Amino acid sequence: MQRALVAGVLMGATLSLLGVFVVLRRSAFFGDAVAHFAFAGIALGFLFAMNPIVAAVFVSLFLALGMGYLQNHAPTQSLDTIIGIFFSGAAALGIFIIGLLEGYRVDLFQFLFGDIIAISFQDVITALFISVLVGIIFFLTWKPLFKITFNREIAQVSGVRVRFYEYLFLGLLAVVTAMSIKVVGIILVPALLVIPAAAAKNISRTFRQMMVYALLIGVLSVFMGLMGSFYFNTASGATIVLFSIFIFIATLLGRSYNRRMDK
Amino acid sequence: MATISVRNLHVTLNSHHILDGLSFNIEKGDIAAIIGPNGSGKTTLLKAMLGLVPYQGEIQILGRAPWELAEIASKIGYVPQRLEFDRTMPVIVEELLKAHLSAKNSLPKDTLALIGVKALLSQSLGSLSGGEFQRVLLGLAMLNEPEILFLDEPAASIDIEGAAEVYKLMETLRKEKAITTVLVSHDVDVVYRYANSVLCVNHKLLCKGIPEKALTKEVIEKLYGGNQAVYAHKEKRNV
Repeated sequence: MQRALVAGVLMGATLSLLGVFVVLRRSAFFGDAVAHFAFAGIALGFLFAMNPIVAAVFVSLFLALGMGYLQNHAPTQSLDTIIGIFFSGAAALGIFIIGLLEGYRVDLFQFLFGDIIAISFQDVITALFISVLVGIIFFLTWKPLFKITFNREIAQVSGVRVRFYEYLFLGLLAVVTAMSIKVVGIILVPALLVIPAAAAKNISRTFRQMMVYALLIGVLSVFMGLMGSFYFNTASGATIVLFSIFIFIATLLGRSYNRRMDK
Repeated sequence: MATISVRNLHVTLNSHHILDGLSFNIEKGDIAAIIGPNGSGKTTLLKAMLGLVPYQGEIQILGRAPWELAEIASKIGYVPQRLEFDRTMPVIVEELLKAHLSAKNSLPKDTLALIGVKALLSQSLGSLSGGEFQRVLLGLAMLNEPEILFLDEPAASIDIEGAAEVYKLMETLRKEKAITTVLVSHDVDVVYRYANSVLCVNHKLLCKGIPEKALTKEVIEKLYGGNQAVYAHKEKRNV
């Protein structure tokens, strides 16, 4: 349980922070797609008897960067269409590979829904490493990412290497999503990526506030969700997401109340 | 050396020839207006100069090619035509400006006061009117004290009074800071009032020079078709 709390809080904080840009760039669908890339990766990991998380990281990274490349080089298709194709393709690949596996693989379902019992000391160290690394990269790159989010062309004219930072963000997102799967599960990772940031947006006036609130809400959701999952004996991922939705609704009501008071 | 030099510029996008063999210079301190009908390639020309679209030919901005502009980014300011911006994004004006500031610079309070942005610093972007937002964009473009401003229909999304305000600001900046301005417009009246050089574009360059001489009846007809004519404005501005 302690291992799950530490790993969960670390990954929750990292996902929520990246989620700020996912929400502001209106690319929540992209988070779904990356989670399904990880699903295909995990299935491939089982097929080739590799560490499934390592396989998920590499497959997610490869497909996310490939999707970014197509977005820049296939101007006849909209971003939504490209994401939809990759999303469906990854889900289909994962399901196809599961069909090739001999017998029923219960392990795979742990990755779909998250399993806190399965978190090892090594997973905690990996989560710590990834969180610190992403934290440092985020601290160094938030300004150009913010500029690109505001306006891509103004950012480019102001000297930002737009494509480099967009690929870097895709890469970070792919790695963190794949690494979070053991705690939250493939199906619920996109929710943790989007809901804390969306809740933070409800109550923020400045961009800095949004980053801080998203981080706090992400950490609180994971902490409360894991505690709830332990006491109610429910799936960790589902409980975490339900807590984060509860916070989202509270912020939404708080925002409406404040607006009414302002009038 | 001209501040901006363009030689034999061709732009083809998705198999459509947008610009065909344009050559011109823009000198330091000019307000150069690019005019032409809708779909004539005005915005594409501006974007080619900024390295935002692929092109063939030669473009030099302050002696650099567009793909080298990152090295002199602080000398360039740009206000795009339509800014796709999520108005629910929680950002205040000061935060936006500071994020775009070069590391060594602090907010140029005098310039921001001149543009009328200083009083807006603590406002959230979503709460600004069209005119205020346009002033913020101009402030953003002016942030690092640029030598050249590229403005693509800077008053397109605001009312007549707001538009006049933006153009007057542009004129003030030229007088006070000697900034070279490249302005895209479809409004011939704006060109007469504020520009001292004009480039008429309809896929090809149809005229260039000072507006009074370059904008002949024939050129206007070629640009906009039909029996168009231009009459000199009584309130002549800054030439």
